[in-house]
Amino acid sequence: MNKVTITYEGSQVSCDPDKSILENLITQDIDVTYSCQKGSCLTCVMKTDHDVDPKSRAPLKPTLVEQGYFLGCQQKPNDGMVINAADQIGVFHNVRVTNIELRGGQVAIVRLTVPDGYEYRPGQFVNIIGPNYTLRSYSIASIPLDDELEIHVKEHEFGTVSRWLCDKSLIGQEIEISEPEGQCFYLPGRSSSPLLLIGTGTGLAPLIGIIRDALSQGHDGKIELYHGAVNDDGLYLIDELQSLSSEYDNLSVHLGVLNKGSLNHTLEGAINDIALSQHHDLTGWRVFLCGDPDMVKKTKTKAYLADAALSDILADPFDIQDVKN
Amino acid sequence: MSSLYERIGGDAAVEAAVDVFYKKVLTDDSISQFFETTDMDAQREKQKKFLTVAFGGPNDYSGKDMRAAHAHLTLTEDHFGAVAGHLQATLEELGVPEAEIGEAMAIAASTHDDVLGL
Ligand code: FES
Repeated sequence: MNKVTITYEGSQVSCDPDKSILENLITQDIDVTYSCQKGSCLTCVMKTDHDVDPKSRAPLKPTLVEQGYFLGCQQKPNDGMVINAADQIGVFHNVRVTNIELRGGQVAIVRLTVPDGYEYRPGQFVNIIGPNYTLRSYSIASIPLDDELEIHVKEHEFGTVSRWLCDKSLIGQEIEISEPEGQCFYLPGRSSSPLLLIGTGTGLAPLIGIIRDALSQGHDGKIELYHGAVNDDGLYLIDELQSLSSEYDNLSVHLGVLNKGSLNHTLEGAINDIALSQHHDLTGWRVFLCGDPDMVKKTKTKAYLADAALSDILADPFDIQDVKN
Repeated sequence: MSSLYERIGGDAAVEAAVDVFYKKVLTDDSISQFFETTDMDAQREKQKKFLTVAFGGPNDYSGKDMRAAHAHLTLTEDHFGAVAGHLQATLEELGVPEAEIGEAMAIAASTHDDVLGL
């Protein structure tokens, strides 16, 4: 029998071409995650730049396909294929903190240098190593055209990492960030389909990145952004949002607070409820949800019930990131 | 004779049915709590598997799996009846002929004991 050779996680693996990549790896005792081996559990995702059988991508979200993911159990090995495990958590880059700007609502806008050859999509997140090797995730608010990587950090009273990132003495220092992760980003194409983006607190960070990304790629469909906070103070990006919406006719910005203050153009109430009360029919819309996990979960269901396709609802729940410690 | 699954229209029919069915289940307050999850994609896949079973199609679900999958839930006859009702309504809405609906309902009924852990 003719064997083929693939590279998996940097090592050469000789494979039986009639068996799936996953099966080959399993029989050679290589550490892989999998379960069903039938293409339905999606636990065996791997990454490659090589062409693969459409069948090995069919069950995956377009955003994953775009990043080169496929199912190892649905793909036969081709000679010379280079494959990596999906999980890149082990890879970290040194970057320098170039600026920390304190805003309202205890939010800091933190800017970092971009590692060489770093490829990210606005809306993805990075893990940052904080003091004592505490790891926290932050969404990327910048776009690749910018010179710097931008994240928004909400300072929590007991948050080791958030307090460290909000302290200006960190400017000029080096910190470590992971490869970008996550599937909540804008996919080119369908440039005239409408976008609905709903975020609470610093859940705005990925959304602003996604909007600027979409606009820079010529998205001309309607873009409706809803940003919610507890008080006026938490609407920390109000000026930037207003100037962006005056620059682009297709972008409308809606701001909401739970406790109405003195700002006169804000709406009162939970921002997800406000957004969905203004959009009953989401057929053909792409929906982006970021922020409080409970809000994200509820809104995801509601958007689905309002007829958005599940594959068009992208969400990034901020599971309690900084409040621990 | 071809299988119920083939007569109904195979995978395409399951795809068409799953959204209708899942939406019914999610809007039914008496059972929606069992279907609420952050991973709606995974949940929808489960609904799809269930429909594939009900249509007598190829599936990876054994009675034992059915039992295990529902073991941690406190389910009653009413819950089972509600889901069955949504299945029936879904098939009617999609214009599936009466005889085929009957077959699908019979298959769904056969999971009764496993689902309720009896
Ligand atoms: S192992 Fe389940 S999809 Fe591949």
